[in-house]
Amino acid sequence: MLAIETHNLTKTYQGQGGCQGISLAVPRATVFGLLGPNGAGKSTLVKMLVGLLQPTSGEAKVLGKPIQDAASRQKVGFLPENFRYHDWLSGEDLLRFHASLFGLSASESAGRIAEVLNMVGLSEHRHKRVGNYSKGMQQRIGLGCALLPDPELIFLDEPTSALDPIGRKVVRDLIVSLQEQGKTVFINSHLLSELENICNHIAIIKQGNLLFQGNWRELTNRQVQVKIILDVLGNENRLADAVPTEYQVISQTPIIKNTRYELLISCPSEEDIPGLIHSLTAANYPIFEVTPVTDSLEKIFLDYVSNRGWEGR
Amino acid sequence: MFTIARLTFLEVFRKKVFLVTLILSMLFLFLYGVALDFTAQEMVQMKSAGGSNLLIQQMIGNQLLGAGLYFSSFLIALLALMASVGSISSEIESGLLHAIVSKPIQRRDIVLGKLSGYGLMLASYAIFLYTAILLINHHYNPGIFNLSTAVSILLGAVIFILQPLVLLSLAMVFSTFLRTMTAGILSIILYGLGMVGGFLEQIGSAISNSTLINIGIISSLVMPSDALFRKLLAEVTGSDANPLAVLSISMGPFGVSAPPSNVMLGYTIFYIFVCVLLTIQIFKKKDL
Repeated sequence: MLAIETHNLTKTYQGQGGCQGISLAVPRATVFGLLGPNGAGKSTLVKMLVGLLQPTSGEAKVLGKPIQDAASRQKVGFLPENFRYHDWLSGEDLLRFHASLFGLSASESAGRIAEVLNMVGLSEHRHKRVGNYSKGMQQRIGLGCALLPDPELIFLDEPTSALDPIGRKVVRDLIVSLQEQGKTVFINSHLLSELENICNHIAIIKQGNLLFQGNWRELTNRQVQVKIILDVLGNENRLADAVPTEYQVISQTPIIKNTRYELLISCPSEEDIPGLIHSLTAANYPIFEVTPVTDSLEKIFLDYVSNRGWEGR
Repeated sequence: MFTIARLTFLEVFRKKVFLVTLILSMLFLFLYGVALDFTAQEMVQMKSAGGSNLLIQQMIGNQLLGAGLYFSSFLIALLALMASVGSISSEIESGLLHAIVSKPIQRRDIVLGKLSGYGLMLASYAIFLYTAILLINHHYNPGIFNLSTAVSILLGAVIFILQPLVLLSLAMVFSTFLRTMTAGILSIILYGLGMVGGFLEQIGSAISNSTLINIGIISSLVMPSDALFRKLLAEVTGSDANPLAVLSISMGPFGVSAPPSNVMLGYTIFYIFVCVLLTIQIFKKKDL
């Protein structure tokens, strides 16, 4: 069963904007990144999935239940982008209130609140009023609220926007740990460098339309390149003979004239890289560095949103 | 629903409008007590001078009772409107509702929870004010409730509680589809319309002008708060059960020349019910 499944999900405002015909399949136990430029419809999509917006048309299921059914959110956590909580409550009381909204009993919530406070690093501030929390702490208590039901699926809308580098690492580690526990994490974020480290599956939307969904690393594997720094032993012209024919030398740049060179070589697949290294070492070229060159998530994203897409690159 | 109701109930006490209303209420009750004290002294002097008339005493007593209930109704109306008019709209504007509506609860329960929380707080406050006004009057003018029965005093309490509940239910409707400021202005205008309509109906009754009476009736249907006040006064003074007492409350600025019938009470309950249903329906379809 998929964590999220949508079919032609559409939300328009007076016939314009929002999302159009989004058909999405989010596998379970993945960290799924939703990418798109500002105004692409990312928040609209997330808000529909958590019951804040009514779809204009189409269908969607969350954890196998239609999104119109409030029970679909029983095991769903949500951290809104513009998080705002009852600032007159203490951190612990706020969690108790949200635990009660999830239907947790007093004894269940007592144990869970202690766990969650520990997970988001706010145990020492549990009695402090939320209004006196820093913005980063407020975002962390919001994350705590989302974690209360031990969610199978958690929506994080810009989860690190208010966090300092240490807070970001805490959240990143938490996301990885959630995935290891078999949870699905759906992240809407602009910080592609952060998503790159934790996400395999992504969706890219632009102007309300879905441009791509799937494992973005598979895109990068279509063209594997490797950068090799080696010593040409005074004769760079012999290099071509040492490289087998199934590989293609894209560039050959001297770093230190007549001695050390940087080669950029295209390989049929990632599995063929060791074979290339073997051929070069067999020809007695001293190798100093081997770096597989893969496209960054940012590059793929920019290619898609600038209308080129992968095929056009 | 209980979770939302509990939080709403507690939250009201933290609002500045509650503190302001509490201070104003205390100040009002003090001044009201002082005014009644002076009046009582004047009555004693009139009686000893042999110039006292029982009907005039009853009339003055009823006017003072009417004034007390009128201003306390105004205070509780102020609290009802100010506390509840942003109950949904301001939480939509701030984003506070995003983390609540996304929970596995029905939107209907959020509306009913908020209504229960505000309703319970307003009912408690209304009982406090109503009891205070009646006790002060009873202290200075023990005979004022001679024509009233325990049932009419109790029914008066129910009517007194219904006044803020009407305003609460209407303000909640506006709060689901208007911005806080607009909802507040519209609620106050309608409350004012009810008051003006009530005055016109009283004047119409006094001079037997059916147009003014009809305007009053229509305004009472749109906003029944003033009609409720007149029904309340008629009940508390016992004039509903005793036609002779009508004379003593039919004159003066807080007089009731034509008390509304019990149908008005039924209509008010129907009015609140419709408002609650409307709020639920609008909020269910509301995009946040």
